[in-house]
Amino acid sequence: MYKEDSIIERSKRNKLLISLFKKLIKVIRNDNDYAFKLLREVTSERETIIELDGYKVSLASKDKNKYILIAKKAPRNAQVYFKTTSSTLREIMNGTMNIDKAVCEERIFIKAPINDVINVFKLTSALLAEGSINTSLRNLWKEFNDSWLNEKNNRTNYSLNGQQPDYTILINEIPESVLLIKV
Amino acid sequence: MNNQLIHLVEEFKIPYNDSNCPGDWKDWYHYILYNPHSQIRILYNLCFNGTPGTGYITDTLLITLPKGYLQKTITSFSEFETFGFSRNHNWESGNILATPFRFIQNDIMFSIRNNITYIVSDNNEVNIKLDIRGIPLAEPIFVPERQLLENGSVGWGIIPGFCMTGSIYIDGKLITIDKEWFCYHDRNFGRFRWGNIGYIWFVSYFTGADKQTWTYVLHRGNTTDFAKVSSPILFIYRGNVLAKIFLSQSIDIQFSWHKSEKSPQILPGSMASLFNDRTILMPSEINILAQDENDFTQIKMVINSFTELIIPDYKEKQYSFVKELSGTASVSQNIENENNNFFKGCFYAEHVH
Repeated sequence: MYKEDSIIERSKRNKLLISLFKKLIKVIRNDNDYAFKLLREVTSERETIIELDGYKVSLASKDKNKYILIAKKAPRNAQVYFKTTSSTLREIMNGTMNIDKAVCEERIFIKAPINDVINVFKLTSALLAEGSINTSLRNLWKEFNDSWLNEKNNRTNYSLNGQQPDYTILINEIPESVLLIKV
Repeated sequence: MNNQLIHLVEEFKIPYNDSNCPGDWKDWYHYILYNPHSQIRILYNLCFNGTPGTGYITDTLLITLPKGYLQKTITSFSEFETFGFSRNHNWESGNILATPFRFIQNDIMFSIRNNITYIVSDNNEVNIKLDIRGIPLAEPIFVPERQLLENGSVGWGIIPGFCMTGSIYIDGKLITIDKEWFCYHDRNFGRFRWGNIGYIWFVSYFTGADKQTWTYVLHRGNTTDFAKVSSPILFIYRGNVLAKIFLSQSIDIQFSWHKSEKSPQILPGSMASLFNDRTILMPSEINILAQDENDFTQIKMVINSFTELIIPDYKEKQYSFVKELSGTASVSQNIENENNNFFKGCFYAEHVH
């Protein structure tokens, strides 16, 4: 979170973020059945906490009989399942890094059972596929880009050559005995 | 200069004021700028899709330059890096004027007035700004309509010699574009769906020892699976005048490929992430042999930069994979009993399948 933000500013930001999430959910519900099904699968009968630039939003759907997804401000100490920053999202959309690289460099953090991770990946892929041709999603991205924190980061290299991750660090974390297993 | 022909090439083709205008209309203005000395190459493409209100505009800028150029630490011309963006904007109503052509929206200003083209494209997300203006130099060629192999039709107009000047800023660092730069301009317009078309196109440029410039422009269509390939055409310009056309079976096009697959750098960003686990074979060379009863031209193009544009169709989940290729070129030819060998040329190509 940006330390200089006042309480009023933080409150405004929380409201804005919740409003943006609600709009995103509405677009998914109205425009893409496949993505909406995935969203239901990863949010039904549970509460998911998402953090962006230190601002936490709770997405909760607790009714077993009816799917009602509620987006609201999450407590500061709530456990986060998905965390990233707006500059990471902007870099991904600008193509100076791809999602794999953001995950490898821990600029996207996700913690969930494997099936949920797979579904979140599928949902993200659906939104990326739809993003450049769906007017509502394009409008929503523009609204986010124009209204949400857009602090200049310290990057000095916008080259596309750095778009992809170097997997060496991850591979080095895997024990050699595991790497040598033939599948 | 034939103003009527320039007008035919440059006029905006989408009947955007017609309420029944189909959404699959496309019309783009395409520019290649290449500095043969520094080997910096720039692509700028402004593509209008559909109609105002419901359509969108794609604004693409790619700048490839020797690695270390911006930091003034070039060690060799063997490694290159690419900067750029490809972004879609909603095409808002009221931002376009057909005559004289002018379009202003977001961070884009594009106009053609009295044959002078002005382009400003500013993207502060990636700290890049293009600001150029220029006039046509070469004889235009206008191909009003060709049927595509799979669906739709597309028209083509080329002006393979343009005097462009101006500037480009990358992260605050200035690159000046002056009269030493070669500039190619073309237009494509028509009704077709992305994902359903393919082609190889290139422009190659040389300056002989006698300062005579030569420009080569090729196009050949293909289906995405190469089951069908259309008749190729190669235009050769001596200076700014068309000197020779090779057609059809007089042209042989051969690709050489790298041995192992790699992940290309991709734009736009959404597609870079969507296709981030995909590896492909990349071409290393394109070789052209064009010969008929009188003349021959042999062009060898060595690819040293590769970026892929992935363009989704506006209705269905199908994509066009546009390989943006550029590098150095050499030519050996005999045109009208004049023998020439050029070794320090450049080229820019697109291969779509």
